[in-house]
Amino acid sequence: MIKIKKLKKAYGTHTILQNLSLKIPAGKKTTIIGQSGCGKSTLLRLILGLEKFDEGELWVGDDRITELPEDDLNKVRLQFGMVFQSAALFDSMTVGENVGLVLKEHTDMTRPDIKERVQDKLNLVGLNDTYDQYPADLSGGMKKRVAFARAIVNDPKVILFDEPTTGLDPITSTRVENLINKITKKTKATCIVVTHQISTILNVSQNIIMIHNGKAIKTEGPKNIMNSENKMVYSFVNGLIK
Amino acid sequence: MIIKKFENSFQDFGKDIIKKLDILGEYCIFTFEIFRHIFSRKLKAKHVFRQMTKIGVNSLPITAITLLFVGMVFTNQVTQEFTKIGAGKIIGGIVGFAIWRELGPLFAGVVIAARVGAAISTEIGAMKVTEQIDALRSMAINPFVFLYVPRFLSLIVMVPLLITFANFIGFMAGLGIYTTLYHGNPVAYFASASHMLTPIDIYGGILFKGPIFGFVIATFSLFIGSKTQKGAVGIGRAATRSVVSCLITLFIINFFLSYLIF
Repeated sequence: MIKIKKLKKAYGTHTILQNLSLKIPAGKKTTIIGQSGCGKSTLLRLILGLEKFDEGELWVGDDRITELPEDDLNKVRLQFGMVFQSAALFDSMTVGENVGLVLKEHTDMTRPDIKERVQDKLNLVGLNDTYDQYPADLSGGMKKRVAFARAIVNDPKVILFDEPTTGLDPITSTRVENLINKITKKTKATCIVVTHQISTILNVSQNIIMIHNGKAIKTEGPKNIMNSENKMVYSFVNGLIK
Repeated sequence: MIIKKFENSFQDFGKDIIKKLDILGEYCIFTFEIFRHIFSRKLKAKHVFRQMTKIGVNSLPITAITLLFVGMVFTNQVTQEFTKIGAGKIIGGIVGFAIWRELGPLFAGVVIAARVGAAISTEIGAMKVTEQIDALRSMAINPFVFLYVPRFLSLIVMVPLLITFANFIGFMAGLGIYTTLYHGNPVAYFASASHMLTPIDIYGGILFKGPIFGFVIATFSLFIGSKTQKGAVGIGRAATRSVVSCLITLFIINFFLSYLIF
């Protein structure tokens, strides 16, 4: 379980997250929604320890992220897989090298074993023949799927998705959403999806949290969210301008 | 009104100074982190060798062309003027001094700063703005070990080697001009060089200026690249800033090094 207590994060004088407290249950798909710039992606970066927060506590299982030195933080990071908004594939590496990098750096696996594992994950995301291709040769949707394969290659306990369907066409979005469901079902990992796409919210979520004015608002599940009793949530998911 | 304006400009000046000191502090910490990770067990020799090839071997042609013409134009001017005063026999020594002490190291440094420094800033900057560096960190891979230290070490090693090569090309280009355009005696060219040049003239530029130039180019371009923000515009700015700061610093450092070494 990921537990956040009274978290504060500011960039200079601009406070992004204030007094944010929430719990993300293990083994479930939690979607974090909110307007652009509300701090959703920042929250993912804080969970991964890519940025430091100003106040509060953040627990990943029994590890209190706040107090961990970089080396211990790296051990925690190995429990995570992250799919970045821009896919963030390494241009100078092939798809196979991108996906296998974490295994090459952190395990004693042999090259053939790494190749086999990487190919397995590429098959899982439906990219069977891309091992030797470079990211520049792939479409946006394919890049996202390579990023998925890279995020799950070391069988992480938690997978973080930052805007996984933003900028994709509706069909590719649905494919990506189905893939998230397929991956989490297969890996049984805790899954945190940051998005403001309604289709993704409805198709992926088991648990939805909205961030508004730096604070977390607990919402109804995906079945009832479109008719939410909370005015903020209702306005957001229905695209109403106040 | 005037006092208010004066106050404001004084405040802006102060803020600017603090900002610059802040950047200097960040640069010092960044450089310290590079040194701290040089002995990391995770550092792989093949990453360093790959960068050496990319940085060193691929810079050979442009360094050769630059020093070829620098050597030629310098020898042409010197020979014209020195023969007028009957000092044609010391051309080899004069060209040797100029090339081995100053022109070779400095022009090689300029070429490497422009070619490699800009490339490093652009590459690291692009990786920063496209979240690739964050992706590395998310996979518990330290960017200092994986990206920065290999580039730093390869520049420290390859710049002196490129300077050696540049000096040789520049000196031989001088010989070419001296013997073909001015019908000089090649034996006299080498004899005057060996008579006038001391070992420190030969090695000073390579062993002292080389690693220091490599250090400046590496740390500046890596630091500026790692601080890149604001997309494509930011990447362009990082490349420009990297080249400009490297060149200015190389010229300044070159003066002081020459003063101290020779």
